[in-house]
Amino acid sequence: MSLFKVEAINLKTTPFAEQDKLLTVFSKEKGKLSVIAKGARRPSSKFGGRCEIFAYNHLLIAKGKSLDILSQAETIETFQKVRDNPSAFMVAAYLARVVNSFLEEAAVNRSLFEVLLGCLKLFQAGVDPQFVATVFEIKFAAVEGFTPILDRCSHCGRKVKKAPQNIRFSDAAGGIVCEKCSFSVYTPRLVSFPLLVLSQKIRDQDFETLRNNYKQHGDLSQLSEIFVAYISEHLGKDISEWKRFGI
Amino acid sequence: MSAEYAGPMGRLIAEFKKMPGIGPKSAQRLAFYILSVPKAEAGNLAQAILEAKEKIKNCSICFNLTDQDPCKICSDKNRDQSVICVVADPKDMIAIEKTKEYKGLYHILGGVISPLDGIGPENLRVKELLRRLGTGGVEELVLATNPTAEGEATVIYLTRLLKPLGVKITRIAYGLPVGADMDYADEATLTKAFEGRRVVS
Repeated sequence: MSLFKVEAINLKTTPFAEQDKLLTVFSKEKGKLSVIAKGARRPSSKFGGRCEIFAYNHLLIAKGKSLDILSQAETIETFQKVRDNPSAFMVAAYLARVVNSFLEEAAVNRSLFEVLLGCLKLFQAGVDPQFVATVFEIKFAAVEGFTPILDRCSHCGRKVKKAPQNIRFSDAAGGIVCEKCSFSVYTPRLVSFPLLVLSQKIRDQDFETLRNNYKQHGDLSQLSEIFVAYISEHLGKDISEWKRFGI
Repeated sequence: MSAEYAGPMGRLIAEFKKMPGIGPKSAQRLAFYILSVPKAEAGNLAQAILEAKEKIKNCSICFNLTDQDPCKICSDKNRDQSVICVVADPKDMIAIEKTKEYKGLYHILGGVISPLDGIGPENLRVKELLRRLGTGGVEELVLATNPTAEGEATVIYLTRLLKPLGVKITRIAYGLPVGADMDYADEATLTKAFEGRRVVS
């Protein structure tokens, strides 16, 4: 039986058979994996809290015929505070759902792994969950290669006159659109240009800077709305319903 | 596989195959077993299935599975009517009943809040719990959901919702299982065990 080691974040746990759990984990080395944790639902299981959602573990996995079997788990970070804070938990669950639905099995995606891990660390540090959700949405679009184009028309490439406030933005085109294209090709919506510029700033900042400076950004719910609609268009799924800020 | 068998046998195998955890081989084994037992025994099984289907329903008070309404527990006047234990499903209630320690009533929520599966508080029997508390006489509510992230989210939600009603709300303890080896305990469990430590002298 061949064994392999990964570092992984638990995205989802589902009861499986009599006493087992089926874990969907996002690993740094091998992408999304489905792993059976044998006996994990028994109170005396060695896995216990290591199988909880958002837990970040070193895993030793045995390659199975159909499903892989979890052999050993050692916690790197429990992210217990994320589970204990209901607003953080609901938003983190939204992040996990987006990642889980976006990732294909066994497709390595280190950049997205780092984004998810960074966001969990922000929750753990007590950063406002609404802010973390916005950071995730901006960075998710960036690492998946559809960050909005803001320096020219995203359809024809012509220069667009910068608006001090609202600007024509097309989710389908992938950024701002010029007057001509907005009439002929797309039906853009008007969104705040300063907010889009702020999104670029957030995209380029590392997680430590974001953790230290999150209070200065104020309310970003409008920016989050822009990105939720934008990501929904690109994923072909309406993710706005998955997002809840409390229970 | 069932197509090769004579009609009724194939049908029996096909029906067994629909059950959770039963594959084609197990379905075949069960079907052969049914054929090997006396007719009366097979009849008992068929009747037990039909009877369970016809008579088992949810108790109108606690939503436990029962053949009489209210269920045995709700109609037992010897039980403490001032304590309600809130559990996610009937299996949890049975586990608590086996301890023979708890003598109060139950309320079965029908699940826990699970944002990843799109299950919110509106999908649980929370309104029914509020209605029960509204009738008065309840002094303590014991929240006994699983110690998972989803179970905890449900506890936090219920605590916030029910606190203004002035009922004492308690949560079953976290920690190491009896007979466990501390060396193998995971960090989350040990942390919770320390948080929930109690004075012994």
